[in-house]
Amino acid sequence: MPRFLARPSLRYVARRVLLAIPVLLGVVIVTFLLLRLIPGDPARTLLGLRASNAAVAALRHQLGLDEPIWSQFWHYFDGLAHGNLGTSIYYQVSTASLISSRLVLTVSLVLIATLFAIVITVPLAAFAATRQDRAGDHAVRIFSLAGLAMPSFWVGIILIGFLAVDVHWFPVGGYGTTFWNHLHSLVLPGFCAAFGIVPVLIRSLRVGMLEVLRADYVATARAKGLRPSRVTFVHVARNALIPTVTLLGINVAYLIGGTVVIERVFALNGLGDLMLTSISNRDFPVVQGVTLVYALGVIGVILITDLLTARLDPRVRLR
Amino acid sequence: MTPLLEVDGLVVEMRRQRTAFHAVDGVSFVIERGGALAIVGESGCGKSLTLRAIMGLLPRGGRLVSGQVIVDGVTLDRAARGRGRGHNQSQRMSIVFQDALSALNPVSKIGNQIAEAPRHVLGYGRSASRARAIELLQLVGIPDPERRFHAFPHELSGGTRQRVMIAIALSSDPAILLCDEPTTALDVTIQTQILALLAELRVERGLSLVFVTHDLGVVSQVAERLAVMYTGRFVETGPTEDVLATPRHPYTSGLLGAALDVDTPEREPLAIPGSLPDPLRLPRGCRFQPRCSLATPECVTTDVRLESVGPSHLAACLHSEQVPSARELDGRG
Amino acid sequence: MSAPIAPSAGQVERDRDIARRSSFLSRALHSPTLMTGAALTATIVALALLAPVIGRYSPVSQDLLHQLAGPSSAHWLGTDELGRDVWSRLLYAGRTDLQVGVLAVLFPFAFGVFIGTVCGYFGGWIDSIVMRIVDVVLAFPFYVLIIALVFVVGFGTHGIYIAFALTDWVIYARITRSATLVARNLDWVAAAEGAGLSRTRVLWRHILPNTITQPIVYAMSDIVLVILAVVTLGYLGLGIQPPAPDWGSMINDGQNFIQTNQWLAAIPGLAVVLTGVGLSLVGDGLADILRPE
Repeated sequence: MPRFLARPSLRYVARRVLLAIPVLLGVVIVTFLLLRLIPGDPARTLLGLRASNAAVAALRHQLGLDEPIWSQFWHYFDGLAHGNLGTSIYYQVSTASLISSRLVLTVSLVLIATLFAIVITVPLAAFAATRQDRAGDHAVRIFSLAGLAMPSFWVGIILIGFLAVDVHWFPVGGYGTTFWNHLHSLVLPGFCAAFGIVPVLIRSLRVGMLEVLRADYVATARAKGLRPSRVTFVHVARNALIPTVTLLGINVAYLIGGTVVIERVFALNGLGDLMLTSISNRDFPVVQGVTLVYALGVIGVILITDLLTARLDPRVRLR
Repeated sequence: MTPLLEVDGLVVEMRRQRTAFHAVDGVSFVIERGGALAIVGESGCGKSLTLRAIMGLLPRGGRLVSGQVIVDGVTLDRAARGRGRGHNQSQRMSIVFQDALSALNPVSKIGNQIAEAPRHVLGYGRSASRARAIELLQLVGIPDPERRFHAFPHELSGGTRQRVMIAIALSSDPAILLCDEPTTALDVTIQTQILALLAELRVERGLSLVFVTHDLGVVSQVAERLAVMYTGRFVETGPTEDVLATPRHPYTSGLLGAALDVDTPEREPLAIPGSLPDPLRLPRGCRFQPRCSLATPECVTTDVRLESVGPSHLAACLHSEQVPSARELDGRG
Repeated sequence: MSAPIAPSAGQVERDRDIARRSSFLSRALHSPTLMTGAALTATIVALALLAPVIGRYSPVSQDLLHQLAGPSSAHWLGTDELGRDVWSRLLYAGRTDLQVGVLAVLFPFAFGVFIGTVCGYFGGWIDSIVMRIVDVVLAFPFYVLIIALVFVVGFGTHGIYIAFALTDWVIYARITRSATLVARNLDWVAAAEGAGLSRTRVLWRHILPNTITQPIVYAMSDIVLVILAVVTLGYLGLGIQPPAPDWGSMINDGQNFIQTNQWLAAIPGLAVVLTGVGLSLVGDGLADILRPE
């Protein structure tokens, strides 16, 4: 166990968690306000012009729209504190239960996508950085420039065309029944979701790695007469890990958002699919609940990356 | 006795975008066992690159065009040097950089960084290299070494960090220490301490020194021989005392005149007129002639080389006898 | 010899501005990245603008006798499942997507730069509050927020504009704020302030010219991001509503025929990629040139 992975102080951890609370509060407020952004009478808009007045009145009551706004917020907040995310208008079951049944799939998808993102980005960025301005570097940069502009869902469709329809290496869609089926059917979607951030990551990480490679401490290490492999792994890689983790943290929010579309492309019943279906069903409480859960996920991920960065970088712990 | 270090005709090319020039243009010197040389010049004259070229640590865009480095009679292999060092070649020389904060690995404890060379290059065991690191921390004057072993670079003061750098340089048991402006970024008081440390190390361990600086004020404390560098070449070399008292190159004289002297505070510093030439458009003949008050038409047409002007004292100037001495400078202004 | 006449301060400023502009132009012309990107983008924009002229059919006219036809002299890129000419649809979709993409960025740019400058320059409680809001917006995954907003305020172009106006300004604000913080501490800004110049003048004449470059560079990649989002929304049916053509909905339609007519889904995507590459090259080129060397 390398001796330089000391723990960040308890104070630092507490501070990060404390700083996350206002954001948490803000997120709750924003999701609360979503309903208010619906033009006109939200209940009427949701149910459509042909709905009866009675139905509209019932929905208004169900959504709590007939109460003063602070009371509405209190009910919302109180409900959240008890894990109650409202009731689905369409399915008439608790939103929370709908979400929890889909959570595993989406979380797995995000994890696999993150794995892909790391596995693809790090070697390519390192390759480009160590061959700066030579052919290899240019190739990687062109590839990432093109990738930046590619919609990940389009990449998914093309890949389905080639790898699923033409050659049957992967399923065209769906989740499968066994654990291995699950894994197999998440490969292509995971890759596509990763593709949404890989170009940006490669570009940024390449710059970060160039900074490390050019640093004086690498010269110091070489001057000691160490084997090149030791210089690379102990000095370069260890320091390049820090911007990698930071960048990943920044971009993972975008990755998570990208999975919403990917789930549609590959017909996976995850949270994203739930959100999209609920939009078609005009099922507001579910849309609201799913949005909140996604935001909570992002906050959690950012917190984890902050703590990870503190563990890796002793300079951070002083703050 | 073969000299410890012999540098012969070092030429380093620096390349940026489409342009290339010789940042070090034919530098040669010799260091005897236990001897010390100070290389003085303004920023950009190529003195840091000279040290890096000797160690094989040229930055991006730098290339060793020609020249030899001979350590203890063994010519260093240029290819191996270019790629970073083969480990048996680096044992005789170590380098100390100017900015200790950027030259130390930020995520590694300083103790481990000092112990690294003993452990992985010299073959010490784990506890032996740790003990050696603590020994070195003590040697460079860092109090409470057992505790400081676990410190990270950013937790230390500038002076302490520089001592750590020296400790790291010493950890591979070198015979020669190449110092690249090690005291420039430090306060004067700390500077004095570091210089004293280096002097001590020379005495106690017979360490040889090549000390690069832009500060003429420290050279007499550091080395008994001095070389003045301008646009990649030595323009004057000799015993430090002699060069400082009777400079034989107008540039040296100019540097002395531009320096504030604590013994004659009433003398105003005299700036050297003009500025450093563009390395891509160097003047013809003597490179200093556009800025030189002693220049004659001959200076533009002749390729001026280092000539003997005294015992062990060389200068590259056609009018070396006319160069004002230190006393004359003090009388002026 | 007579002493040289010192130029007036105003003259110096004007000379400096002229020098700055001409050197910028010369560097711009010599940057292969910028020139390639500009050429590519200009071509695409020209094609989009000339859609009524170059596109030979209306993008919505159906021809049910010639469905899913391959490329031919009558239909350069073939037809889709309703017999509509793909080439014409591609051009008109480009028109819409590009237009929406660029327009959707305008408000976030302007507002973000404004609020970022205010926060960076004045600090205080405005800064704290705005930065908290930025953190909250960034806590939502981009697409989740956009989709939720479009659901709530309504689909189509106006929904897109509102959704981006509410969310996209945050990065501009952050970037501008950082740049303003740096600029605020520069010596000559302090000098201008000390000389009694009004705050607005200092901001406009001294700070903004220096802080505006980063948001502009970012805007290039942001337009790509926004176009991608518009196309994605179109794919999901939440964006530009049919029958108006949109690259995203074209890809969606094409997905149904991935086994037989793969190009139907591929071609609109390629159009997006080319547009994105052009804009990114412009952005990269600008970043290289504007980087303080």
